[in-house]
Amino acid sequence: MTMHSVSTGVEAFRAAAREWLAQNLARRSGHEERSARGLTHRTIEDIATQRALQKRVHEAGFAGITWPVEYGGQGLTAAHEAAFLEEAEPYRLPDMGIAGVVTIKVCAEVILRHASEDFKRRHLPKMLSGEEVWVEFFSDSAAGSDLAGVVTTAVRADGQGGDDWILNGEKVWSSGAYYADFGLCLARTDWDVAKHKGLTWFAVATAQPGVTVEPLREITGDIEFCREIFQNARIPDSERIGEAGSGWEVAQTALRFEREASSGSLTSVAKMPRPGPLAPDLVELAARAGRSDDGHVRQLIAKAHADDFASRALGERLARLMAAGHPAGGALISYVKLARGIVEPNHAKAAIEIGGAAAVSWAKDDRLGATFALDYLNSRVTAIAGGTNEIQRNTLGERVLGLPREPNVERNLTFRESQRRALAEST
Amino acid sequence: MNNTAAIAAGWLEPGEAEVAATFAGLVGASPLDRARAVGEGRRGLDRTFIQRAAAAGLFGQTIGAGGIARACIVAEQWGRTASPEPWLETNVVIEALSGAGVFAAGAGAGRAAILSDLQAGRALASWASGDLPGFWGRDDGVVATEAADGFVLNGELSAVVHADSVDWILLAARDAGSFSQFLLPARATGVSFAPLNSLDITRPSLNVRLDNVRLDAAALVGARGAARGGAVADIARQVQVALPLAVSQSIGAMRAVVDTAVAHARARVAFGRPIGSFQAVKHMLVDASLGIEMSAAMRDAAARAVAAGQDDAAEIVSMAKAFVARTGIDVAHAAWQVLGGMAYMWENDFHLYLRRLTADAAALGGEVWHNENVVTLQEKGQ
Ligand SMILES: Cc1cc2nc3c(=O)[nH]c(=O)nc-3n(C[C@H](O)[C@H](O)[C@H](O)COP(=O)(O)OP(=O)(O)OC[C@H]3O[C@@H](n4cnc5c(N)ncnc54)[C@H](O)[C@@H]3O)c2cc1C
Repeated sequence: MTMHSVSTGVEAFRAAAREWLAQNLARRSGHEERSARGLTHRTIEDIATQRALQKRVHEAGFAGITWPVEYGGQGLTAAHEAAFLEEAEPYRLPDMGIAGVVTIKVCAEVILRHASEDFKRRHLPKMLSGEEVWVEFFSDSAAGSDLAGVVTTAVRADGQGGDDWILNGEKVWSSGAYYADFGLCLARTDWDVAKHKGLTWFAVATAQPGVTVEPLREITGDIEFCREIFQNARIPDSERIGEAGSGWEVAQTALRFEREASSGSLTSVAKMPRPGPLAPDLVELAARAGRSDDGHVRQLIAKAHADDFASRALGERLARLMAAGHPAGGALISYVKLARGIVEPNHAKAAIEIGGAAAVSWAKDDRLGATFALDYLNSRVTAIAGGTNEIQRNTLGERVLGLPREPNVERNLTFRESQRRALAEST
Repeated sequence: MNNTAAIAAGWLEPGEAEVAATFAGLVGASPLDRARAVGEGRRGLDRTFIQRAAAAGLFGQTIGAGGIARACIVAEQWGRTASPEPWLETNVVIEALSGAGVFAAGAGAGRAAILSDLQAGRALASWASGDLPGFWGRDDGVVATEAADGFVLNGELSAVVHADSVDWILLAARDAGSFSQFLLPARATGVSFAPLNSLDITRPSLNVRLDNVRLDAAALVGARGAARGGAVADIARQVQVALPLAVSQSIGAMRAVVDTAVAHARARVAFGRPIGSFQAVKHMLVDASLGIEMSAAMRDAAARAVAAGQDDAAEIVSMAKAFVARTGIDVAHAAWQVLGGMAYMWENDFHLYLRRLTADAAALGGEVWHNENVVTLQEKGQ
């Protein structure tokens, strides 16, 4: 693997990147096919090609630019990384879909902060090189927003073989799991302590015995997220992340990075956005519907355009406030997630209103026409996945505005007891 | 009571703290007294206060001194205290008088004296921004005709803020086949006022009649008619400066009502709990605070676009105005609901802010005008 030394100045690194990119990667075309929750289903073969490409990026020393050398990174500065990303802008970087993003932006961040030294050396270099794709096994069928309420359970395999754990239960909505190698899995390891105390994280290999990954068809008709059934899956203790019972603290890291990943990273150097072209999808729909001059339609387009710009400008503003030491710190990210969780469904509804019939039916070979329905069906992903709008509102209300929490009906109860009471109350 | 600090309420950005502290010293312990006095018709504009504000660098030299970004910070403070003074108008007039190419031939020393009076708060100005040719309102409200050493103006200006309490009014009139801007002495012969009843009682507005008002040549501000890009280009520049400031005043008012509503939600108890622990209340307040931060983000973008002379500056300021017009009213209504019956009492300051945010939304082009402008600018390729 090529190593770029720390003494390599940013400009020399940039020049090396420029040369390598030109020789090794394809340029983006004007009209990229959409993949993540997009039009093209990601096949295992397609992902394999992308993994191979990622391996080459890693070997050339352009993956994990800021990561420690011992974990397969380059140990360089954020400025080096920014230089690479700027140079890479016109190129098609390896794209392993949503799981590719989650591997680096969420799972690796959790591992870097909470896993054992051996674990980090074992997994992180492979995550960088595309050999290990990771996904989130966070939500249970029984617990989404209330992540600490997971019932997927791991118990010590006492008497049957040392330190191993035996995992049973069911995870769901894990995006990209059908082509992933590992899931970052939250499990309950103790039912007889308070809900937030009995949790532990594990790396679960998708190919291991006792794990079944079942691709699920989504609202769009495409297959992207999955359900996993764990039936006595044996997990070595060396694949545990963080102390047993400390899962809720680790979860804070996971949730924070997940929010960031779905809000556009605020930690990277934020630039003031420009408005760019007027909502192209809405302008196209207005044209198709013959309503480009309709005053009401123009109002809807302008409003969607302004809302979109406002949610991007908000990211820049909050990054600035956080850098300036705003006391709410990382909790501010929830504002960006909430903004998008509101603006995106509104945009989608405006598209339907503007396009009318043109938005809801299209010719078989009309790929652009198909994107309108697809965008509509995807419009509540941000509002629901990774912490719903309501959960962001609770967080912001309590951690930023300082409003009182709701009464906690689970206080002083073991998880087992609180589950029993809740079941008795629900219909 | 919950012991978490209301974090958002207390914290200030770097640069804001110094302005806020100076402003707090200036307005004293009852910052809304002046707004109430004007609103209840007990007193006119407090000229002594204005001169003190000017001496503290917070009135008439705000844009020149530290650029538009600092002026926005100052504007938030004026908005946060529902201040009745024509801060925005005076600053825009100063900007118009001191801008490039503005000293028309013959303007002479008189203009420099006016400018220094305005900057020192010794004189006040308003801006007939209800009618801006090329933008909104009427474009034939006032007609100028050339006369020996000057102009004669006839017509009517609609809803000019504080028109009878200021010394100067900047207006646009039909002239020379196009438009020109003039600086009208508010007490010139032939000027008469018809006071309006206004929702915003802190900033009363008046219709202004001009009957054969004679102005000398020096009253012309900027380009005449279509010359040098024309008055419409000058007005466009004034609008670009005015909108980020106007929006900042609204943001200040929004912060005031949301801070009050949050404090109320933390303290007021119903059904055995602070009302802020009810999600219906908590979520309304979060959405309001989100609206404020998005407004501020738009304002930041607008101020930077104007300062840098970006080619999309006109579009960004219009987007910011449209967004804040809508959001200001939404935020006021959220606070209104959370305050409940308290909000309905005259003695509670809430209504002063509600009135201002609603009037702010309509001033300088409402949401509908700016939305259409954004689409039109995009179609024209800016
Ligand atoms: C496209 C997509 C991709 C996803 N990808 C992944 C993934 O890769 N890995 C993974 O682990 N999970 C994933 N998820 C799951 C996702 O994180 C959950 O759907 C989400 O957290 C909400 O949980 P839930 O669906 O169980 O809804 P619930 O928690 O049952 O919520 C239902 C409704 O009740 C509201 N509600 C719940 N609690 C409260 C409360 N305290 N106050 C107010 N309202 C409340 C919610 O806001 C929501 O409106 C994905 C989901 C989607 C839609």
